[in-house]
Amino acid sequence: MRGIRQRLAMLVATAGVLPLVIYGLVSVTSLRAGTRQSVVAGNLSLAVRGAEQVEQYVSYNVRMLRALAAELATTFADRWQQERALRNYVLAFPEFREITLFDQAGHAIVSTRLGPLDMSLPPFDTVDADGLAVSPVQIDDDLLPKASVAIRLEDPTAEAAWLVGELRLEELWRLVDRLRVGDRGFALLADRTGRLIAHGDPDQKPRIARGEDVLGHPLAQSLKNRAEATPQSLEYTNPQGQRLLAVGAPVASLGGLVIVEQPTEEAYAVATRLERLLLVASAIALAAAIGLGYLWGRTLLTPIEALMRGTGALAEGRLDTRVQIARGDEFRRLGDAFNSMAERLEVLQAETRKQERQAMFGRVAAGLVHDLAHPIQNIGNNCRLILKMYDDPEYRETFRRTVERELQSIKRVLEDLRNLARPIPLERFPVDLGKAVGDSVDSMRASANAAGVDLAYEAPSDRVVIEGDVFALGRVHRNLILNAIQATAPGGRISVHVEAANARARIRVSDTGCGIPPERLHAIFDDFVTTKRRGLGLGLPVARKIIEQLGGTIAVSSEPGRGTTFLVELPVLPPTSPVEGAASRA
Amino acid sequence: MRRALPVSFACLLLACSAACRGARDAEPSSAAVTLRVGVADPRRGTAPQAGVAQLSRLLRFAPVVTLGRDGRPRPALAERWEAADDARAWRFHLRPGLTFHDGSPLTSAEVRASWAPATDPSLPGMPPGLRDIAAIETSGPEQVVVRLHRPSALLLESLALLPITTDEARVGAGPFKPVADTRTVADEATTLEAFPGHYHGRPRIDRLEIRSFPAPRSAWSALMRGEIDFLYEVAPEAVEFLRASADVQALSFLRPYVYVVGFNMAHPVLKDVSVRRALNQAVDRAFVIARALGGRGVPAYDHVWPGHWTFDAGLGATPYDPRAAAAALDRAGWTVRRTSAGERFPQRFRLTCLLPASYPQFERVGLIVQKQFADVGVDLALEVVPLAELQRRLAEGRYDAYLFEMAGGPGLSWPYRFWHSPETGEAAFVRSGYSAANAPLDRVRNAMTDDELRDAVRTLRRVFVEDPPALFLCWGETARAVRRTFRVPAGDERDVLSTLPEWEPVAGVGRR
Repeated sequence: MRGIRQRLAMLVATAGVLPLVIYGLVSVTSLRAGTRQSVVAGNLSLAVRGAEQVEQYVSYNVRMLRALAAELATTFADRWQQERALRNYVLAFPEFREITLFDQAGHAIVSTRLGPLDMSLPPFDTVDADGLAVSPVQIDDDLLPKASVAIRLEDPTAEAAWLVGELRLEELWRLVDRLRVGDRGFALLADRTGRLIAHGDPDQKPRIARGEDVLGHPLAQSLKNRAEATPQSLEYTNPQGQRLLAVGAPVASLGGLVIVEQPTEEAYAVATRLERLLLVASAIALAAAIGLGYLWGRTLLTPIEALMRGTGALAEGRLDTRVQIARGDEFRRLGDAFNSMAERLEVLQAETRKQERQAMFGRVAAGLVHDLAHPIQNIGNNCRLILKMYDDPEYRETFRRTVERELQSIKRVLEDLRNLARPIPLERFPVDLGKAVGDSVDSMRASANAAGVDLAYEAPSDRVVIEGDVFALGRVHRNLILNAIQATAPGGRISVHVEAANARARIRVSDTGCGIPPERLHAIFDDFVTTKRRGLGLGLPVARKIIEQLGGTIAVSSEPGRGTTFLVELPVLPPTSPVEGAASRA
Repeated sequence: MRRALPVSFACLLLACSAACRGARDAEPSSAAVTLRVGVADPRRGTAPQAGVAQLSRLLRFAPVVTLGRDGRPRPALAERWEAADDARAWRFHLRPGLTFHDGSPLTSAEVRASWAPATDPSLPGMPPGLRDIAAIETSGPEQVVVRLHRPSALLLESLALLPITTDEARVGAGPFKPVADTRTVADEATTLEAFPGHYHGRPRIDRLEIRSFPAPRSAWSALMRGEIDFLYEVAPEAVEFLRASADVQALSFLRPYVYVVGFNMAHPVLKDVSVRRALNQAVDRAFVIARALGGRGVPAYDHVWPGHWTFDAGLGATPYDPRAAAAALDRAGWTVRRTSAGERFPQRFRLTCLLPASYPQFERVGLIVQKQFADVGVDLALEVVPLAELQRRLAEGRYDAYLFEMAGGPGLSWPYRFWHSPETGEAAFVRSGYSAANAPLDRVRNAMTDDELRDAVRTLRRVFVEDPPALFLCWGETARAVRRTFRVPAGDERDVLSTLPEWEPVAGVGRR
């Protein structure tokens, strides 16, 4: 069954498991790549949007200041008007902490500041073509970010030359605070010098107060090295050993950078969860496929096994074996056919046995009739004659001897029949096997001569002593020789050989007769089996029984047309055996 | 005046916390618990009431009674008291076994010795409740009897302002006592240690190390770096950013100070009550709070502390109605006229408003008020002056209007002190010429029952609205920041400083 099981397992593996495994691996790989890409894209989008919002925030305030500058240049001439305009702006737009109008020399003309002015024309790095300059972001004494924006007024000949506004950038902080991704993803904002000016993680805000920069951030370095500042993403491990997904987008107006960071563990949590789900689902599907395959396989193998067991039982002769296959498919029909076959075999066996019994009884009857008819006939004839020749004393003696002899013959036949059913009583004493066999050969020489067959005997070189019944053994020898004579055509040869080796004595009786067909060879020692036309066929069965009771074996080999050899083996008595000693004195 | 916060007030807070706590047994600790306090005051060392020195005094001294946030008196050094039937005598029962920091006994004699000088009528700024004291007597070592000229509802809150000290050494009986006191102009610091003999048990904090910083930024940075555990005051705009921190807790509370644009009744325009009412209508207080205070405050329409137990929130407030204000000014005869020499724009009249220098929040408030006054045709010129000059001019009555913060609670003494006409020989914080509230303030002062007091306060508030002495703008919030390594008792929106003796380190931290 191993072969079919293996083939079935391979079928399940190739048809179900392997495709499922391949599909699972491809799915997981694709899912991982796709979801991670999606996460990075989402975070990048957030960073870009944040940069745009920062850009808009700054540009919006600059536009407001520009509008005020335009208004001042075209509308208000008196100081108080200018002062009022500035103050209205400061009140209307809370992002402006204070606004001051400066002259060409940098002296304040009017300001929203009531007390001493602490603002001056800041040192601007560059003034663009539109007359705009934005100072670096600073942290004021209240720990809040601020920056100065300066607008050059359009009329350079007018007294007022510069409009400078101090921007409160708390809203910028709030904007950065709102750039959140997940629970642990924050944004940070750095200016053009790399200085940190906003951080969405409240626990990181002290870094702003300490004036830290992000120049060491891998994303800042990456953006710095590129000719065009475009949004980028990368993964890195921070000094605390945490793995982070960082995306960055440049902010043109500040010349800075918005970076959004999120622990990869959180960023890819959904993807990881999906992967796990997919793996679990695949594993479940795989297990289900294997399970189902096993179950279906069993449904296929079970009836096959049942049929094989049934067949084996039939082969062993248990013809009452039946298989139970309760299915609605071909296996059931096969099972039904098997059961029908077994029933038929039982019937045939019963008929065959009956026929054999009848044949055997017929043979036994015929053998009995044959073996008993002659002596009984003889006895009957002599009984009739004795009536007539009763007065003849010689005939009376002849009658006595004839009746005794025929009765002995009948007795032998009945004894043979009886010995089949019970152990043959044997006398056990040391027997010179070479001499016993020679005696038997001599007693059969006349019969051999009459049949025109050469009977040769090869005695052992040394004395071979066994323990046995000389009379029973003689019967065995004579039976074998008689069978050989009967099976050998005139001119043939019968050889009898006795030897001893390895504590075993061997008697070999070979003939050049017609041989025994192979189909009868296995039953040659069975009761009532004979190739002769007459007789019970008890000679060889009795011979085997005698030999086996003496602890020996008898075997036959034959080749039709060439001859037959019977080999008898008997245990040899040890040389110092007391039994042998008695035998030597016998 | 703003900074002239009486030491007693803070003692009120501390004693209040003591009154709210049960007695605790001193817990011996294996390691000292130290709280490092940062005070950010740019004027460190220049005014004794300011900065480290002020906070130190708050923690070193204790009064006989203290005031709760609702203005109700609480036991402090006295465990109970009772008034005579006519309310002209009060008997205070001191807790047994009281001592000062130096171990000397604190008895009725020391209480009398601490109180007596404060009742000198010649002292400027005497709380009104103390003016009614006729005599202070001792009755045994643990009883003090105060006899009054007349019943006074302000007696207890006035006594709450008086710390009890030894006669000469100025040793207190507060929850903490000094260990070292170093003071320089550049850097002011002091160290206090827990007083085991405090009447409410030994504080759970063993030591206080108080130091000043030149600016809130540096103090906050120190907090973030873990160099200090407690930041005394945090700018309102920074609170929201601190609040989100995992390491620091920002605890906001309403300060008992009211933003006020005070009027001088001697001014030819402002003596007209309809003008003053109109000016109250012209200002959007919600806008002031939103733009100047970052949304951290509540509107004010009078000088009564909104947390006082007599405060009735259902009383009407002056609605913001610039049209009605303009109409009222027109009816009062102050119409908008063309610009004349010296005037900046067509206006009804012009006022000059003084405000202190170096206080940016007042500048912002001033700009808003200026703008809203201008919207109804009133030119409010803002004049920034040094604080000392401001105080002097207010006391002398040399002003049109002023913008500042006034102490307003938690008791009722402050409205009395600011708006009752000064008594003969009494020095006033502000000489405004206002007397409309004298009668209701006297009723407040002389109330003998809760109902009388409640009714008197209601009348007082009505007077403040109908005949306003000032433009009451709002009560502002402030915040204190504490590292989360210390567990701060959850309060009822009171200042957490009052519960400082109850602070304790979170298990496993804070011990050095």
